[in-house]
Amino acid sequence: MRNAGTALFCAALLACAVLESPMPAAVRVEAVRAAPAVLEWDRAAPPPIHVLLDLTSSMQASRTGGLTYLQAAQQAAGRFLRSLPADADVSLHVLGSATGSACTPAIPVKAPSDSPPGQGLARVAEALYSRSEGSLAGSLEAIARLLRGEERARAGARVLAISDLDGSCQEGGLCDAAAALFSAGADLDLVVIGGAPVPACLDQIGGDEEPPFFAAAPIPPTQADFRVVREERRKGDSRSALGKVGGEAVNVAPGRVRVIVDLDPPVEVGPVELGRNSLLRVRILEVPEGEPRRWEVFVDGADVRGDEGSVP
Amino acid sequence: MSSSRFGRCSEGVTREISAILGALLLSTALAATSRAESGLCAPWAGEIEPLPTVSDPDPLLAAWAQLRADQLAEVALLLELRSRVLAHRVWRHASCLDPERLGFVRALTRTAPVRWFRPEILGVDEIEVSGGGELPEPVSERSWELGEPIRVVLARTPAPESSPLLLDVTEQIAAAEKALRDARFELALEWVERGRRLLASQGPAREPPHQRVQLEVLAATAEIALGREEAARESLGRALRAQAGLSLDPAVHSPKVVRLLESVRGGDRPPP
Repeated sequence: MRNAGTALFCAALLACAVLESPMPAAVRVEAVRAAPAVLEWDRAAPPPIHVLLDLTSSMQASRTGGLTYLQAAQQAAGRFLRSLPADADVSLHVLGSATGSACTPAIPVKAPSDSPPGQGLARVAEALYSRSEGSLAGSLEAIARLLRGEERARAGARVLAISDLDGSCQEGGLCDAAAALFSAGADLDLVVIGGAPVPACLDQIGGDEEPPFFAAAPIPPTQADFRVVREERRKGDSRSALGKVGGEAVNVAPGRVRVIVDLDPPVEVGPVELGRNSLLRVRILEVPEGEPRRWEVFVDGADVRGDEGSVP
Repeated sequence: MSSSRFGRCSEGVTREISAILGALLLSTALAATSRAESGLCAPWAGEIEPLPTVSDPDPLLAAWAQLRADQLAEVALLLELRSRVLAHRVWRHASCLDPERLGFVRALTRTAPVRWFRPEILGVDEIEVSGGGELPEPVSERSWELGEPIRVVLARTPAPESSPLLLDVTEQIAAAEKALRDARFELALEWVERGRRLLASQGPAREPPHQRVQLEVLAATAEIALGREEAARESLGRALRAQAGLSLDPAVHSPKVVRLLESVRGGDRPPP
């Protein structure tokens, strides 16, 4: 009997407490960080340039404008090489000038040491003649392999191929070779001598692989606290709720509140009227230094947006 | 979040909107899946996964995508001076975030990883040697732009010693642009200086303003790349004196140059 009386008394007390205390509201703060885009590359070093000159038999056999294709290609290569600055990092690869078996890979040619590399290689390019066959695509793939192994090519490389696209040695496709160069970070410029068609698939080469020297450090989540401050405190009520950005929602009593997030500089949101059971979500877009920080506030479906120039 | 925005709508309208939203979400998801399957638009390190776009229904993610796209565009413009392929990758990624931006579409065309040229073959030039001396350096040794017609010179006459190598300011501008593309900023400034001397030799009254503007903007671009902001301000000041209403296309010029131009126009000075 005494137990029943105690239970009744407790239930009555609980009912009074529920009637007198307002149902709590909650506040949650989230932050999204914008990673700064930074390049970590050495601008001083010029990107390597590889010139591939096709001297295979079809270049020797075909003529236009009173010139063999070979003469035209040598003229173009010579002029290009001579136009390079004296400190250019340039290599010449010659296809079809080796003796021996019918299909030979392109041969890298060394620049004479008595002149700047471009000038010396231009003289070499103009002096060579056709002696064998070789695959343009295979030679481009070989250059791509070479570049992949070179640290200096990480920040870009350039490949210039001068050819009639008419080789008797087939080894891989031109588009596969162009894709390999793309993956190795090399631009490909193709100078076509004569009227051979250019494969349409070359226009499809591309992608958005992250460059190797892009600042790739993951951005740590925002570490900051926030406070929820009552605008109209009742007599004797000086409490303010504390929470962590990205953490759990904190319960607060309904009413007019401001949210202060301890970022640098601090973000102050509000005043916002919180009803019973309402959830105030503050979402902040953290941006790199120098940009205005933006945030959004969501309260029970009513959106309030702002930035550092306009306090909601 | 989206459901709370439509909390006050009538039930029928809500159902309709839900259906539309569902269809939109499905098509977005399918597009994202297709992009993911093709290996495109995967988030890079530090980015939000899945990669949002500027039209993301979440305004905060849309704002992030906008900001990130702007950042990438700034980096890609710098990269273009050095490597088309690397710049192309960054432009492509930026266009994942903002597929509709026209400047990105243009940049992707400009930085195509593979370019091909079919130069016209003009034949052989027979040029007599003056004075009967040794063959001088061939005139054809001057720079050759890819795709330019090819002419073989068999015998040559030397260029007069007194004449400069490039006589036309247009050629100085082209040489400076090429040097910039090759990230050779000091060399670009040398070409600009030669162009300025040529312009000065013509006298202020005969100076074509557009050539002055081109030279000074090229100079400012190189100077900014070399960290010489004060010199860049002076170059842009000269450009504005030649053409007061000058504006620079952000799709073509570095955002830093564009911003600095506006700052110089407004008379702002950098903090000491």
